[in-house]
Amino acid sequence: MGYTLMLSIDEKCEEFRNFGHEVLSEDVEERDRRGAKDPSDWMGLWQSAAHKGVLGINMPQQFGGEGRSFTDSFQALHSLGEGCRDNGMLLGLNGQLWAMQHSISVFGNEHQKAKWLPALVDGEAVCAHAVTETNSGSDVTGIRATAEKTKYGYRLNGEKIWIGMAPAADVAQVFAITNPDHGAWGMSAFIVDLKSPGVSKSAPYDKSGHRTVPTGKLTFEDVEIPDESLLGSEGSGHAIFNQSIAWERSFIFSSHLGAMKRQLDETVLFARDRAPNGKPIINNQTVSNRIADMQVRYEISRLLIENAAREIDAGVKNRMTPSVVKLSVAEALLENALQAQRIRGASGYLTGECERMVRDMAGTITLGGTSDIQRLLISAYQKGAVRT
Amino acid sequence: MSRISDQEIADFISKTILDGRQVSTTQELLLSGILDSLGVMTLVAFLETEMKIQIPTEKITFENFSSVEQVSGFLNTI
Repeated sequence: MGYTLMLSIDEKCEEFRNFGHEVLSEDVEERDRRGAKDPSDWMGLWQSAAHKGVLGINMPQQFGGEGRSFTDSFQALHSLGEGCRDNGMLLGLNGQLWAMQHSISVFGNEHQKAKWLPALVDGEAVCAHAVTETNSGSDVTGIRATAEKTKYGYRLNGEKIWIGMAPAADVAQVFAITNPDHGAWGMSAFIVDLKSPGVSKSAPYDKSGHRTVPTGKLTFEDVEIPDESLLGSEGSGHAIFNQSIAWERSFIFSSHLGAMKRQLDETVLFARDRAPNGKPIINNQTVSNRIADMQVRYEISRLLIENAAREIDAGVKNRMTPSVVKLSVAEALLENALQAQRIRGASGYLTGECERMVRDMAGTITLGGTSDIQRLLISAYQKGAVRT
Repeated sequence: MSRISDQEIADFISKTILDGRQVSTTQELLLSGILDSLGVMTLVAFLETEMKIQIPTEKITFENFSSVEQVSGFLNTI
């Protein structure tokens, strides 16, 4: 195997920041307006990001990645977000990286890793995380999709909704019941080639934020999938879901946090320059208090994600961490976007960056489990985790 | 690692998760809906804290958590 000199983490951050600014931000307002109806609107940018190494940042080197630590990967992805004004693209890339590629890397066998990881890292294939159904969200005990054992594999039936990238995905990580006698605990995870007969993809939903990448529905009708599609062992779907959603909740907003930092800096500059009657509004204590609180929310969010990364790098398992990160960071993203809009006054209400940040960040408190669900999870752990 | 009795596990489930509703050590917990996914997480946190162990995520399965006796049997293997 050849030896490739890796950039230092500082150089990588600089490279990602510049790439986000110069390439991924291109034409974002028009793409946001069009709403990812046409894959050609975002597919080229996705592949450019993959070729730049975004989707390989923490993937094993033998599958085309750089194998960086969680801590360094977070730093690099944060820098990408500092430069990139397309939050939809940032969400899609981080979603694939943390929820799907990482679980294939950890739970997949060597054949599955060799088949899928290089294609995903290189941008040749796009992956969807197919969990949610009409009667099942973060609590997967309501899942009804089934994978019935056949002579050569499984027959998959079911419908998955609110799936990021689904309308254009090539492959999906699908959760389905394989042992109905165990109810939702008889669930397994599969890597399903979406070109298989019986798979249908909906058109992209028309949504308010993260409009530059598609979200939609996947339907499976008597889809014959081979044994080699099974991820992990039969019945391990619950564990794989819990682990993959933990990675997602901890790190999916790595790049959004960079966008939050850019917004904070731009808000300071705006409030310093905006000077009706010659007096900069940043010297109005009401405004400066808002910006101070924005800084605190950003710093806390950054520390929380860094802490989650350090825990994993050190092999520490803290079951509460993903929900604490998800709840706190998502609420901070939305609150800072709203505060930035207040400070900009009428100009922040015009169609553009400021109002787009509000629409995009409003989605963060829902995707990956709502803030209310995170509170329930934190409470569930608290009840057991304090010694009497 | 500290040991914990079947009755202590049942008492924790009864008092903290089920608002005082009693469970026996042989009673089925998952398919019956006595424990939902949040209840299982609470039980896992309790066991890890009291016994000073880490339960691997892949071991939180139907076979290991379907009754107090099953939980206890599983804990004896780690």
